Amino acid sequence: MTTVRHVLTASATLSVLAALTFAAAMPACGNTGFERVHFRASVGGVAHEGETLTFETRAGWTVTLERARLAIGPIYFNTIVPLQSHATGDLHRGWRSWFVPIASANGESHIGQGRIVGEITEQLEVDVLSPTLQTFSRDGIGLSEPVASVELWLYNRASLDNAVATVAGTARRGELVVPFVGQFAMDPADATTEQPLDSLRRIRGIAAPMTLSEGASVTLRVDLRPAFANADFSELTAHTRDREGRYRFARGDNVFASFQAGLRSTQGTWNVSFTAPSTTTR
Amino acid sequence: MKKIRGLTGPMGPIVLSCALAACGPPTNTQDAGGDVAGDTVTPNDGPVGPSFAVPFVPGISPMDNAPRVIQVTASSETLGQEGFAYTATPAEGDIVFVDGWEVRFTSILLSVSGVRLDLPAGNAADQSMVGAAVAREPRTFAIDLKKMGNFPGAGGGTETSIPLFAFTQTGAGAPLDPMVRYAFSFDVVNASANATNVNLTQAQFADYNEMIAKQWSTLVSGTATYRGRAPEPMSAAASYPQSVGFRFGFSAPASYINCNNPDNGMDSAPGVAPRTTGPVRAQVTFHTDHFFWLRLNVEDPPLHFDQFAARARMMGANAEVSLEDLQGVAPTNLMDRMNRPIVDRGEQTMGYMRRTERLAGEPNGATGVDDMRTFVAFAARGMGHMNADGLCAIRPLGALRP
Repeated sequence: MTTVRHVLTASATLSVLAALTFAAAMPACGNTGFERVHFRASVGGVAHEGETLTFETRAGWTVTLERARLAIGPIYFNTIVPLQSHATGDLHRGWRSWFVPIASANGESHIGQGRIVGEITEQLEVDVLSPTLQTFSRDGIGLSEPVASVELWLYNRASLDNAVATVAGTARRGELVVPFVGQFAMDPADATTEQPLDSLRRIRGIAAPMTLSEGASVTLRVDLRPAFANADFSELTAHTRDREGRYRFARGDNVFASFQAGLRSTQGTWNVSFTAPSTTTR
Repeated sequence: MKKIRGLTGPMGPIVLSCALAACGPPTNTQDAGGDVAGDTVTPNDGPVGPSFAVPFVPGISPMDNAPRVIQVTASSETLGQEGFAYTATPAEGDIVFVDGWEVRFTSILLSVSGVRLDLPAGNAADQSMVGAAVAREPRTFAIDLKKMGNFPGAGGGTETSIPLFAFTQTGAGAPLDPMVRYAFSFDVVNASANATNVNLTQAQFADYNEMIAKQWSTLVSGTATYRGRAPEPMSAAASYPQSVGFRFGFSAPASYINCNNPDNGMDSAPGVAPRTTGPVRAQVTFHTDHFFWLRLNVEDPPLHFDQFAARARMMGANAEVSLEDLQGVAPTNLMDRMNRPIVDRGEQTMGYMRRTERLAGEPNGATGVDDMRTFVAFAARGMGHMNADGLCAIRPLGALRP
């Protein structure tokens, strides 16, 4: 496990620390103050049978993921309500938008700033094909204040070949079988004036309604199925196979673009749940 | 339209807002969207009636000088009214299609409703929060934002603004208070036969009736003309038409809440305060560049048109494209009509550096954008502003639907 505090921007870290410190001093302000709390956080894949994950995609492929490892963290807990797209032709996606808080966003379709009221500043490498939860070694810290969303910050990890995520699997459609491998890495060269590196790193607005409390547990389940929903693996067969006999998806092809979009999606890929502390533990 | 501020760090206002949350006085806030759903225009399959042809009289003039009045106008600014010229060497701040297209609009039809003033909530952490209702305009306005108005536009220069009405008092009949900076909000709703026709001609009634029938909020049409570098012979781009008529209709109803007002002197300051010396403006502003974004959830991404040109149909001698031509096209897998990847031709324009050779849409966390139709609608939903560049909190009022 690697701490990533040192790579956070100074302003971000100082702001969080300032807020937490400030808030810790605030309970003197009548009875509206919030307490400083510690909580556990764990990450795992979605429940399924076996060591691989097989699923059908919207584009008509049957995909079996055989390897999927992600670098998770740091994670921040925000008061801002996540965007709801209402882009719902699909009933399975649509019904939910009528029951969750309605979206609010700043002008250019942006989620608002909100306030950070909790943080986990470690990074954890997770096998997201395993539903077994892996727990961050240090507790998260925060305020006993309602949280509406979390944001993940993406950092490469040396043990993942300097990537954020690496995956391998096999895609089948009809007679075509495409063994594939690929990764997503943060690349400073992707930063632009309108989307600087700090902005590129963040996945903001993942729904997480909860109020952090002392001894509580936060669970993040990662589901990579949406990341391949629109991928057309046939494009990869124009590449040469690697030593494992797999086609490598890479920046510039549609499978990479789909994978990247899926990782950045705020609905479907990342699922946060909260468990209040038990009186018999901690 | 000028370049607007980039994203800032997520923790910028944290200390101040923390103080407000912990020790600030109780605020008489309400969920700004809580009563908005009731204002959404009821779908009406019928066409517009005779009242739609009655000439609109806004009742306000640029010459008015009555104090304590908020004049409400609407504008698509210079870029909507005059279009996007192309140059390969744009000056800083110029907005061009980096892939070489000139774009001119024919019409920009929208329905604006629920224009309202509320007391400010003073919640810096959540712009969508407003206080008690103050005044509300009951009409829904059907507007062609391509057309000029007789008010000067908030963006300055040659742009103009279309007059709608004025707030002259509160809903209770009291004069507006110049000491209060009222939260200014409005909605974009699906077209309705009950709307008040601001400036559509008889020839445009058919378009508006189509919007009603299809429950669209927006219908934008125009012509794109390729002015860039000649494509390589035998390349896919060489087969794309050089002139494309476009017509995009969709539903993206939303509330634009508690908008920031650049006239307040700070881009981050929402609200409009009446003056004792004359009227103040509240211009409902629409940024037409949003239709052509390929990167969501970032400020001012470069504009492209090739994603549309590559899907255009030949209708006789003319090429045309609508959102139907983008059905099933994944933003992350943009293909032309011949099922070939679309090459990003943006580097012919100075200052643009493509991330990959292949053109692709980047949802960037936006959800529900399963194909390019909803991608366009999602981008367009963020087009509403106040007084040129004032950002609003956006609350969807319904599904994105082509």
